[in-house]
Amino acid sequence: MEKIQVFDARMLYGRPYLGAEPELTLAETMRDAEAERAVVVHREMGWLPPCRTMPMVAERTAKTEGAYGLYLLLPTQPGEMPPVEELAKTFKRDKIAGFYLYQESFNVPYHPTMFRDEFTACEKLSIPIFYHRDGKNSFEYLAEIMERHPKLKVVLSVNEEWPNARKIYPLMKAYPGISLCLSEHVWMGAIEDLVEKFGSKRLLYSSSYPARYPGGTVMMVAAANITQEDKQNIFYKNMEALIGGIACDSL
Amino acid sequence: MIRYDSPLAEEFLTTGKCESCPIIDMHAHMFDNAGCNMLVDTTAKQVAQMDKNNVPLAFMVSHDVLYGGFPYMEADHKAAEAFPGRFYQYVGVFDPDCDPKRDIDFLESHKYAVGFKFHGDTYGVSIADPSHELYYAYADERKLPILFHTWCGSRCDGEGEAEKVLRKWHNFPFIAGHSFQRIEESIELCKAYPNLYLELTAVLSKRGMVDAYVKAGLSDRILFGVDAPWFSYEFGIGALLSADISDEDIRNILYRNPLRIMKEANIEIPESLKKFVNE
Repeated sequence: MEKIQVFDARMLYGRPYLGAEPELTLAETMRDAEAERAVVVHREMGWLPPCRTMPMVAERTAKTEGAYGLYLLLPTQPGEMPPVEELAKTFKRDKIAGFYLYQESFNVPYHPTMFRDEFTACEKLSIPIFYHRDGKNSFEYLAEIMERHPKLKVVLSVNEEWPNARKIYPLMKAYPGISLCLSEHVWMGAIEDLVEKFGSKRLLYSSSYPARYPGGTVMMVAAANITQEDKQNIFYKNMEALIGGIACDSL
Repeated sequence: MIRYDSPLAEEFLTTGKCESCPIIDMHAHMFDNAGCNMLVDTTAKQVAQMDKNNVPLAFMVSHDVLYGGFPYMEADHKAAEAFPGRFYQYVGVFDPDCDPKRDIDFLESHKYAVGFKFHGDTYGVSIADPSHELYYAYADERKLPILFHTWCGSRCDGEGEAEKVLRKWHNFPFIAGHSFQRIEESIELCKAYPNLYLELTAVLSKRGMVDAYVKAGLSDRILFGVDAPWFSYEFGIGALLSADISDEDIRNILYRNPLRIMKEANIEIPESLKKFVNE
C-alpha cells in the first residue's frame, strides 16, 4: 500500500547520556521511522551545554532533508546562550522548529519566573516551545507558564502511558496554545475522543522513535473514526502550520 | 519501519481490522477505574472497540474484582453473559483473602469463567505462596490458563517467583502478563518451561522486545493483550506491523496461539473462530 505521509512532531536522535554514538545517520533513522519530515530531539541536549549542542544540531539538520532541529532553552541572563530574539534570526536558515525544555540535567525549574524574558520573546515571535513532561517536571509549571503567556505555542509530549485525560483535558481546554503529541497517548478510544473534544488541529502525529514503534500511532490515527481531513491535519498539516512562520516558510 | 508491503498491514491500516486475522485478547479488564479514567468504560463500548478491530473474544477480569475481590465476580460474569461468546472471565484471586474452594466453585458454576488471574504486586503476596497451591493443582489438571501480572525483579511476581511456580507446575498455560518487562530472562524461562507464554501488554510500547522474542524462536509462545480498555488495540496492532517479524508471526500471536490454549483446555471456541482452529 502507499506509504502514509507524516511530519513527525517528536523523534529522537544522537548520543544519550553515558551511551554510545548512534550507528545510523539521522537520515537513515528518519527513514526507519517512516518520517519524511521530523522534529528531532537531539539527545546530547540533555548532557551537553547549549553552546555545544546548537552547532551540532544545526549541522546535522542542514545535512538531513526533512529534519528540523530544536535548541535547548535555558535562562539567557547567565550568558550561556544568546537572547531568544537573536537566535530566532537563525531559525529559518538552520531549520530550527523551536525550543526544547529539558529540565533533568540543568537544574532549573520551568517556572515562568525563571523564563520570563524567554517565554515573552517566544510568545511575541510565535516560536513553539516543545515541552516534554516526564516523571520530574510537572503539569503545574505548564499551567503557570500558560497563565502568564497565554499566546505561547506549546507542543506537549507526556511520558506517562496510563490514561491521563484527567490531567490532559483540563490543560487542553484552558489553554488553546497547547498542541498534543500523540505517541504516548495510546488509550483505547483516545483519538476519536480528543478530536471530538478539541478538534483535530491541536493533535500532532509523533513516533518517539526509536524508543517506540512508529506503526502504533500511525495505525491509531489511520483507523480512527474521524474524517480524512482530520487525519491529514494530525499526520502532517498541523506541524506544518505550527512552525510555518519560523523555519518552514518554504513548506 | 512499517511493513507497508505486507497484506496484513494494508488491510489493518485501511479498514482498522483484518477479516482473515481475528484477534483474541488474552489480557483485558472491564469497566471504569479509580486510578485513571477509562474512555471506554462500559461493556457495550468495549464490545464496540472489539468490533472495530475484529476482536471476537477477550479474556478479562474487571478492576473491581482486582481491587475489591469476590463480591464483584458475579458482575464480571453478567457482563460476559450480556455479550455471549465475546468474553471469558478470569477468576481474580484476591489476596490475602483468597479462598480456593470458593473461587473454584465459582469457576465450575459459571459458564464463562475459565481461568484465574493473579496480581502478586497489588497484594504484596508472592505468586509462589503456598496458599495458591490448590488453584495451581486445579488448573494444571485441566490445562486452564492462568494470567499473572509479572514485573521485572518483583519479589511477588518477578522472574524468580515465576520460576518457583513453573518448576512445579508443567501443564497449565502460565501467561506472563507484561512478559516480566525483561527480554533475556523471559526468553530463558520460555526455553526452560514449555507452558510459559509471554503476553504483550506494556511490551509493545517499547520497541524491540517482541522482535527479540520472535528472533529467539518464540513466535508460538506469545499472546496479545493491551489491558483493554486501558490501551488501544490499534496501537498494539500497529506496533506489531512495524516490528521486525512476519505476517505469520503476527497470526500466531493474534489468534493461533490462544486458540491452541483454548483447545487444550477444552474451552468452547466461539462459532466465529472455529474456522481458524486448524490453521
